[in-house]
Amino acid sequence: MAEPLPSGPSKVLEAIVGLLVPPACREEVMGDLHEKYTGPAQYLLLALQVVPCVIVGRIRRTTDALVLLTEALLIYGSFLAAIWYTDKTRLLDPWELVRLAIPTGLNLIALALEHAWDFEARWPLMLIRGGAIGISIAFNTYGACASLALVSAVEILFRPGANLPEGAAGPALWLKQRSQSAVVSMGTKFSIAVATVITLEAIIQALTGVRPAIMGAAIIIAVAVGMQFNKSRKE
Amino acid sequence: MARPDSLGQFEQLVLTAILTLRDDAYGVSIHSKAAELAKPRDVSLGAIYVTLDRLEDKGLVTSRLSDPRPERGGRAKRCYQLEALGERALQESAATAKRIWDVTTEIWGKEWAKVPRKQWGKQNG
Repeated sequence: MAEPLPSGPSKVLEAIVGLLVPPACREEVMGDLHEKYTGPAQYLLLALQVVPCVIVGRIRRTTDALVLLTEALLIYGSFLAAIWYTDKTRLLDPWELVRLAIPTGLNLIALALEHAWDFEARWPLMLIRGGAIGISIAFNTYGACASLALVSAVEILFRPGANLPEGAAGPALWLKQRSQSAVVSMGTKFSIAVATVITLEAIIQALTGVRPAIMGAAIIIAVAVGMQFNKSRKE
Repeated sequence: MARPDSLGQFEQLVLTAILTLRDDAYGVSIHSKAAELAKPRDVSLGAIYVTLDRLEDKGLVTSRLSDPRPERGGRAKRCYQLEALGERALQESAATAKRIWDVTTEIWGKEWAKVPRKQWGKQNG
């Protein structure tokens, strides 16, 4: 008679932890956690210890510091230019310059996580990205639009490393170089679409005097999130 | 031949663990071996993953996925292998450690050299 298999964590617990681990290393990390399982509390404690390290490691691997710095400057510059264009007097307040760092920081976090997870069909990340875009729009519509368009251009030119587990036999640097010609990510397409919509709405606002921008953008993001959710459910 | 980057102490531990484990070097086994080598300090599994990623980026190790195993909930292991560059980096680190050992023993005396050995013996049971 075959030996009974050792007990493991519950499916729900594994699913929750699995959601937090980037897909590129999910297989081995979840396997290792399963192997070390002795009880639910120990499993959770170990996961809490391991998952942040895995995320940081993945971000370090998939994010190019130079590209991220360029994106930070572009986002901050976009908001600065937008405020300069709409209301110069706000720039006299030094705290206004500090406040501009809020949408910049949020967008950078969303971008780093997006690269680490590989944005395709990851609807929880879509919510993070949507939230970052939403806050940016609430902060300054024109700044959000310009930063999205510029960041999308950088993302297309300097595509971050994609998940290529089949090529894991080579050092990550080679994988990064190999993935340069990869297709434009879902996140970038999403950013371009949102930037286009906001631009159109800004034009409507300028021509008609009506301010539908924030409301319209919120609807677009909600529809995009809904579509993504539906897509991931089908998959 | 390319000159390898100098290694940090933790990287040396992880590379030594991979060298010792040979074909069975994956996350859990590397963690156990590194913890054994690092005594009395604790080693976290998360730190092992970060270091393995960094070593792979430097081209010192390579990895491949094994077949799925039932004891791992049907998941595969990521097995690591030392590359020639990694072996060379580890050899250089070991040679440096040996030189430090020789010099300190010469200055502090042979009696001092016995103390840490006794302590390690006690810690390793």
